[in-house]
Amino acid sequence: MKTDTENQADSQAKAVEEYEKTLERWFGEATKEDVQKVIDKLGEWEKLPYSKLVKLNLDLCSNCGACADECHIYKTLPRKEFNPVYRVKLLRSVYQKYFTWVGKVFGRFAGARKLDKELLKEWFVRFYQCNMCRRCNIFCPFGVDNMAIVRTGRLLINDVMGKTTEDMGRGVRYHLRDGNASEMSEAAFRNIVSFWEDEIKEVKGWDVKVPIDVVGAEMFLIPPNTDYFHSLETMEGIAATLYAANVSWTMSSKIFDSVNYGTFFNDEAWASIITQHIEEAKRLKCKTLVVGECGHATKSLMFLGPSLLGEFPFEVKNILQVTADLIQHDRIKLNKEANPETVTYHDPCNVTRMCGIMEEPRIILRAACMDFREMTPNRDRNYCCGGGGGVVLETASHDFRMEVTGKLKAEQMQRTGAKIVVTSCANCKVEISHLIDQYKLDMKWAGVHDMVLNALEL
Amino acid sequence: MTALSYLVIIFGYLALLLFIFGIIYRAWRWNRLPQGFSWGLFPKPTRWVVTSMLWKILAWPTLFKADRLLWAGALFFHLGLLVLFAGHLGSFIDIASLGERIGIPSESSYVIGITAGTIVAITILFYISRRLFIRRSSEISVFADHFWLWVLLVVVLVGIYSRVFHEVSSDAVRDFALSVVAFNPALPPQNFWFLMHVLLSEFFIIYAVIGKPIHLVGQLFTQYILVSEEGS
Repeated sequence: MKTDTENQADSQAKAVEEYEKTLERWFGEATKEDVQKVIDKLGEWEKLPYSKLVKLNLDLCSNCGACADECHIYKTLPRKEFNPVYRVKLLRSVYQKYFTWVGKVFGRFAGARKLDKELLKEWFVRFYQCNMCRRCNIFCPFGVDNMAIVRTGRLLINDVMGKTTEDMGRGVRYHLRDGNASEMSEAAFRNIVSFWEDEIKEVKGWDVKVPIDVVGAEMFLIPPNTDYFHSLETMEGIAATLYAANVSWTMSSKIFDSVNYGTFFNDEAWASIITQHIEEAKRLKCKTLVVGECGHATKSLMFLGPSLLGEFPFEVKNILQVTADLIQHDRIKLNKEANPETVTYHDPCNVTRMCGIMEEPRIILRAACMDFREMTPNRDRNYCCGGGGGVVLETASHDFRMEVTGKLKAEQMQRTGAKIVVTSCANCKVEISHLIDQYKLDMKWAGVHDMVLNALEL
Repeated sequence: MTALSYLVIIFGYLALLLFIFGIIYRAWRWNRLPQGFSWGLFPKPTRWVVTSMLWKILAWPTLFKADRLLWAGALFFHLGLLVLFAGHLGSFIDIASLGERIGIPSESSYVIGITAGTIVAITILFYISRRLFIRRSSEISVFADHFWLWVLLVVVLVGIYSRVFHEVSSDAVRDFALSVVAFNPALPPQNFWFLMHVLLSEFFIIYAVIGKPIHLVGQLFTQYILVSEEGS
């Protein structure tokens, strides 16, 4: 008879093994030419727009392992392959082998390693197991950033072989073709918007009309596509908030999806999708482009986009900043009693560590809820939900996320004793909803604006 | 002994050249690479940015939170190295009278030197044992990670041994060091342990430029990227 711990170890091992097999299947087989092209590409890596950080990471990581215990994946399953340093070494060993004289002369003694088909396959597997949450970056005394390494590895493989994970790759193809990652037509968009309006009418009794394609509106809102299907209350909350505050805003009937999966593996796709957003914002002559409750899109548009494509002729904000500002300027009225249950907040890595939006959601939740309590650790020290880096986008990653990458988050959520876990990232919402089901947690999940919708009064 | 003396002189110049130009070259290479993306990490300091960067580089506050034992070991190691470095300046300048001016009697230099050397040796053993026995470190350590620790340990142990059992007068060391700096090298003091200590130190200095010990310089760049608003 196996103990609970042994059963858990078995199911974790099985989940890891199955997802690794899937990743290997998606990768397929590399040819000798592919391997050579990756080496050549690595030789040109100084052309990468962020090669300074990557080079420093490769040069400075001293393999001390201080980051390992701060990684939620390694903490859950302390295997060598999940040690953040191991991922740095996957790239560094090859770089050393071909592009440093120390590696050329001393070979394996210096940690250098020849790139072959098997190692390339391992790159793919390991780099797509990482959540790219950058928590290890905080604790590294040298400032080594695993995300930059992982992204570089993914980018090299994608550039040479066109490989990425299945659903994420499909999302990017759709986005480049249709302007959104979920094959949503304009008619479908208009139907969903009209459904929000009906729901707001039913819940609040207000005649909210979502403005579409209004040229010259102050704010242009782009939410993530996932919220159209998975988190309707979030969208209704945002629409109701902007209505209640009498804000001049609009959505676009053409570009209505903020997600940008290129962020996770491909610079060209990334830039093309950002360009779609920029061009539409210019067409609508908005003063502020407002990203909905979406972490990586906020990071892309707020920080990475301007440094990649030049300054935008408009400001970029996240909806959390807009709503917190409306609350602080008394432009909306919230009744806490509408949300009497205990609420906690999961800080999405992209919103928090990479965009610095930490206090705004707390301003909103304290104003809209009777009992808000913090998760520990929180803010920039939070643990990833387990879905970051695009891992949650893959249906096939479900067991891996539940058993390994998200386990720590499930325990952390449970310890709060809260009845509702609120978050402000569409991908985190999906992951957290799965964790609640998987671990049968006595709690619900919600977006920040779901709580605002309940509490909002005219 | 003479062959060893010549090696000490030749490697001395090589180490000096590589150290100066190696650091400049590596810093220049890092600096010229593009960092087009703003890749900061929040929260970023809004005031006292330079102080905050230096605090991170010199005191490792996040390592303190992640691994206090490693933090303490690293602190003692680096402080010990700093004291040894200051003491070795005595090879070039009259550090004893400088020390006396700030209240450190010249007789205590022996005790201070041996204590600092012992602390550094103990902390190197601590580093080595981490790499051997702490799983998250041992599973990712390679030969090169162990190698430089062992080299430094030998440098320190030979230094302690020569100071305790085969002491060379500080005047003789200074005469030799100044002759090297003046590009008119005299024969070094003919003491095997002293010469071995110098030669191994030179070897370590050369390695430090191409290996991980250069992290002090590199950190200036990474920490700047993490706090900067724009790409750099």
